[in-house]
Amino acid sequence: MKRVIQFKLNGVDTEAYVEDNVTMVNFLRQQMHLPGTKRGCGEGECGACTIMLDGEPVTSCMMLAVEANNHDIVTIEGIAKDGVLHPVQKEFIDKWALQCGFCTPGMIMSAVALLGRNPNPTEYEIRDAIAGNLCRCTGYAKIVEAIGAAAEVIRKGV
Amino acid sequence: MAIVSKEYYAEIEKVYKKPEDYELAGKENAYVRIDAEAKVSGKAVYVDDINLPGMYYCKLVRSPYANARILKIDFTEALKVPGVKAVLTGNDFPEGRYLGCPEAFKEMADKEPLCRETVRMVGDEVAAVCAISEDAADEAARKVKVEYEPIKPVLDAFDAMGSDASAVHYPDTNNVSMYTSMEAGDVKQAFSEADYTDKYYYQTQQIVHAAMEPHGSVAKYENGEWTVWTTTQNVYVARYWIAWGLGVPESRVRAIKPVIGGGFGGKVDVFAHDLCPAKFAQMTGHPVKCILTREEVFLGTRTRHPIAFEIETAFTKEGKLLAKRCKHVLDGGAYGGSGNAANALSLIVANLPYKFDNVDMSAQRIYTNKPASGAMRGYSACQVDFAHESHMDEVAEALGIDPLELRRKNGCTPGYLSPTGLQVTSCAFDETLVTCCNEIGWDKRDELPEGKGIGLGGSCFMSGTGFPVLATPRNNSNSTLVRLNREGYATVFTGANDIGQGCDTVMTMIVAEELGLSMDEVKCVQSDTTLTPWDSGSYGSRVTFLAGNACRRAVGDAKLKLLTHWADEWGCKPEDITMKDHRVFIKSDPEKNISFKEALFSYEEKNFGRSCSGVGSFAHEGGDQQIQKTNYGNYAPAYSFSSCTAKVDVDMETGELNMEDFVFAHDCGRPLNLRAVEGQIEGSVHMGLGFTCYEECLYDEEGRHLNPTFRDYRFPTALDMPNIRTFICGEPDPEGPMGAKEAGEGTTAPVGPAIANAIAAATGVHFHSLPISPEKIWRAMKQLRETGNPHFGDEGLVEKFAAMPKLKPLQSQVHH
Amino acid sequence: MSLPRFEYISAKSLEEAAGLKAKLGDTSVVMAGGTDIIPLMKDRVIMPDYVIDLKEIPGLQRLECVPGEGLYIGCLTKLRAVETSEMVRKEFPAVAHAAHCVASTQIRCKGTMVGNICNASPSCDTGPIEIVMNAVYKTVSASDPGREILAVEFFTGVKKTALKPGELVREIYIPQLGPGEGAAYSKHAVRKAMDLAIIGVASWVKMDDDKIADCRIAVGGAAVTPIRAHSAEGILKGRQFTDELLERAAVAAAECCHPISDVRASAEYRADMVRVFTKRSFKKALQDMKPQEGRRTE
Repeated sequence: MKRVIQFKLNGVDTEAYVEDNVTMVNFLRQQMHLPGTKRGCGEGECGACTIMLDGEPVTSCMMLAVEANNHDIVTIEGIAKDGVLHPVQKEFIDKWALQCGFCTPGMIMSAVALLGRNPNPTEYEIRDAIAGNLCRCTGYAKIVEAIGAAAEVIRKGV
Repeated sequence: MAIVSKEYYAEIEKVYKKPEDYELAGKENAYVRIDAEAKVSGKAVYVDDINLPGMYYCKLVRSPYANARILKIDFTEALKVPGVKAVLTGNDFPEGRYLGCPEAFKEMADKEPLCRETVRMVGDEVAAVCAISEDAADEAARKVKVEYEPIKPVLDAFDAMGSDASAVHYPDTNNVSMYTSMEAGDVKQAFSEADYTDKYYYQTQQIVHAAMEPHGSVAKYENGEWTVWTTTQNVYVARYWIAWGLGVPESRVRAIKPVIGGGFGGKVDVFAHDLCPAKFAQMTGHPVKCILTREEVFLGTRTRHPIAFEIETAFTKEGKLLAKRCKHVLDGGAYGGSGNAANALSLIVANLPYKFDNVDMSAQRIYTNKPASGAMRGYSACQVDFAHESHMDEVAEALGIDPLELRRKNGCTPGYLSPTGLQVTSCAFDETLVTCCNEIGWDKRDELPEGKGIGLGGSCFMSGTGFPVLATPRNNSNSTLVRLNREGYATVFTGANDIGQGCDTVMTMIVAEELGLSMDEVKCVQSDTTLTPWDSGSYGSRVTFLAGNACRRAVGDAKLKLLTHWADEWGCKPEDITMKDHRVFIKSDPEKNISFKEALFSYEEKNFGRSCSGVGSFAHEGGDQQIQKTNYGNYAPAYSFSSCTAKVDVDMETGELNMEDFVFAHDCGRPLNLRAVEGQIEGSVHMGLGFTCYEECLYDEEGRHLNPTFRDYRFPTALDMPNIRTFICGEPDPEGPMGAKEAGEGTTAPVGPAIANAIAAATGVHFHSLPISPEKIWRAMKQLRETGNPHFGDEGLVEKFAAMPKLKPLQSQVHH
Repeated sequence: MSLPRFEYISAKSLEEAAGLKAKLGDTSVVMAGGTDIIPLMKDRVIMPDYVIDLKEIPGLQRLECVPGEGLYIGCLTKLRAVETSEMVRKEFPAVAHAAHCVASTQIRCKGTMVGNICNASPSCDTGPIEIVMNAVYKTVSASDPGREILAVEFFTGVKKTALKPGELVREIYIPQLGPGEGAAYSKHAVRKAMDLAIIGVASWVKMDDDKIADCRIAVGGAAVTPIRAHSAEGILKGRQFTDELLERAAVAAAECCHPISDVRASAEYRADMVRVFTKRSFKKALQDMKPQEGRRTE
């Protein structure tokens, strides 16, 4: 069964024609041509497919495309604004908080969502926010550092 | 040690930039990864992101049995699924074209692209389906009916060696895939004279790489040529095996490595998911994609070898190590491939980081009906170090010597030549030991209360296993091209395979540094068999060292041509001229100073427009294929050394482990970028911690996986990691590019013993097997309370080793 | 990575959803957050022809503490809302903590409290605490007016609940803690996040001076459902609290469980961990206890 869904995608009002059984991650990657959201495990365990649904981070492999109807979706492609990187993205670059980069989009989504609700997180709160984003390369150390640094940049309004 | 290629490149190396002029190498915050912006924006292109017009999808059909004969494959129902375009079985590939090991012994290749008659592990591929969508391919694959005749699988390496075990591949071979031994000195004599001798047993478990990106490939076929984009760590070797499996010349296959989401050794081999899309592309005329599910990655790619150890050592009462005798039994799983090399490597690693004259070691890799074990970060060093370094602490306890002092007394020193020919050049092992102990508070360790403990582990790893791969001239590991462009930039063409570790950035940095350009003025073309020259691959810690040196020679070659031209103009020697900050100049003469662009324009003027380009290569002299069999000779141009200390807090009721502190000291020569090295070390600690405390692949008695998902196979999350403090030790290495040695593979190895030794200090129990889970600690403490026995996890190993048949070095096994 | 085909129905009211579920029976499945049913579909454990989504039904995200009564959690209220609510953290800290124990931030931002108990995993994190706090699940049904099911009676087997065909949970009601009452949930897992409980123990206690006036203990992950440890409670009730008494009760709690051995842990280890975590959970409940009548907080 196919149906029409209407939703906001990275700030743009969007309409799409989707199969009922398509997951959000496959819909974004294949139908909306937004491959930034990654497929890591297909079972909601690794966080590589994290997007924002109404400002909250969710694993898009655990979501049907049809569930986006009347909601607000943000993917990694929507984090930079007018070509200007978000402070979280800048700090990931400057702090060398990535290696293979496969977990990075999902990690950044969780980080941006965290800083949106908690502008001054403790180290524990940062680690708790990204506990659902598995990384096999970095040991998380520089990721935590980058998120903390971004929080400071945002607080200072730089 | 005379290195012939060094003489060959001596003129070129004369124009290398002097360390005092470095603007990028080793300078903090001087540059960022060249792929960082793409990766943080979701724009980096991984294999699954490649979509070509008209692309089809391929799904593989896998065996549910660990060992069985294939009787019949029925595609009737599958072909009824709308959108199915083609199907494949093993018979569609040329007979006798087995896939195997990239490093050596291609005659030992033992894996058919799709199984023809026999499946040897749960997940072994028997058929493939191609359809217009992923869903249709998936549905059709589920509808393929295969009839099997199951055979009782052999799941334990020791059982597999028995004379009554069924043959996984070759009958009457005790299921031996590889056997190597290493002898030197007079071990018998040393043991008879020693004050102290012992015998201990250890066992490590099977784990997986769990790179976040699943394996896969996209293939197209056009103008008689295949192009395959694949998740590989070595694009030239991938091309070799793909061409081989298809039965076509290599010149007709182009292999390209796009951005890779982690490899750790799991993407070294070539698999059905590389061959089948290529075949389908030819059959259908459409591009074909195949991406594995996470479960398929668990079932059908590679794992880390479980290893069982018997270790005997002889010491003087003062703690001088006289002799080591050991047997390693590696569980190789169903196939060889990259796993074959782990066998010899396990013995080489067991010879370092300590000095001793008497060696009697053997290692055998045994086939079983489980997923194939292959290369995995540390390439047996993690397992070996857990066993041998835990063992060092046993010795320290028995002799009443401080574990730190015992290691310092026997540790490698610069220039050490081992009795079997391993040549250490730079070595700061002692400094790493002292540093990580000082930083953790080693002196106060006996004051810690019960449940808390500090442990130490040290290790050594080859920096640049310049081992011959396939049939490479002069054991060459990498050849690189650099072209200087008069418009003010340079292009480097490197076959080096960036799998996330950042070698693209390293190559870019080396060229930028030598030419005095900024990072964005160097364009990097990488890992494409049509565009870039040979590289042997990203494993065995070779890339920065081997490809980096080749890259430097390539830019040096171009630089020499350019500077020779200007030396003529200015009446000086080429090495008197500096290239820095976009200028070409003589330091002592302000008149002789021009821009990079002008310098090149003038060069091309003189040379009729011939562009200024350079070629460089690196070969490791002494790397001899025979080393895999004889284990004599030098394995690598340099060795890196690491030590680490862990402070643990064990919940004595539950066995739960909290890591309070972790200090890592690494000798990698000159770090080309501190943050990159720290990142590698932090990642190593994560993987080492996972290996030691969390991860294990579990099977039932039929060889079926019990936990092929991230729900049930767990490694540390951000909340589980300790804070890690990193210290870089040592001096620039004379052989490394700009003095660098490896960082990232050997660094995984000492983590396990540091944690195991810390747990021993905290609880009084010495663990002989991994993972050291909370339940295992709980059981061990129970055993200690009830029986007083402080050793846990080596049950049954004494008998298993005693019952092992005597093996002889095998002749090359080939399929007939 | 692909799901089996199904028809998606977005219900407009709970009554409609219940009616559809009753009519379509086992060919259908009801979805709230979807974080339990999507993996089941992916693995082909369930292959429903119809998926009935509740998410467009308004008014089901209640999260309210009614003074004199307790906490009301609507069937679409997310775990994340419960975990982060200031009100829940203050008045029902153990419930917020149990919600936080589930999976990861991402799963909690989509999955619901009600979904978690309806999935009825033997080791589910929210079951034990709701049992000890005498939570009540209010249902809606197509064929009758709906009823109230006590949490302890709700779980009937592995992934099985007392819900009749076509009956859905509309709301969770958790009575508030009175003076001298405290509750806690302690989870034992290997990882600090994203891990199913090896076991989990929840305690609720009512103190009268230093005497245990009443208590309830529930264990998750040690039987086919979360269960009450009645024998342990019997040892404690009416007695003065001592560590020795608690140890005896903890042993009894361990003995009343029938844990299994699986990839996570052995039965033996689980049983002993029930003992350990009964103590820890009970002590935490005492620690978090609301001040007794006429007494200042310590």
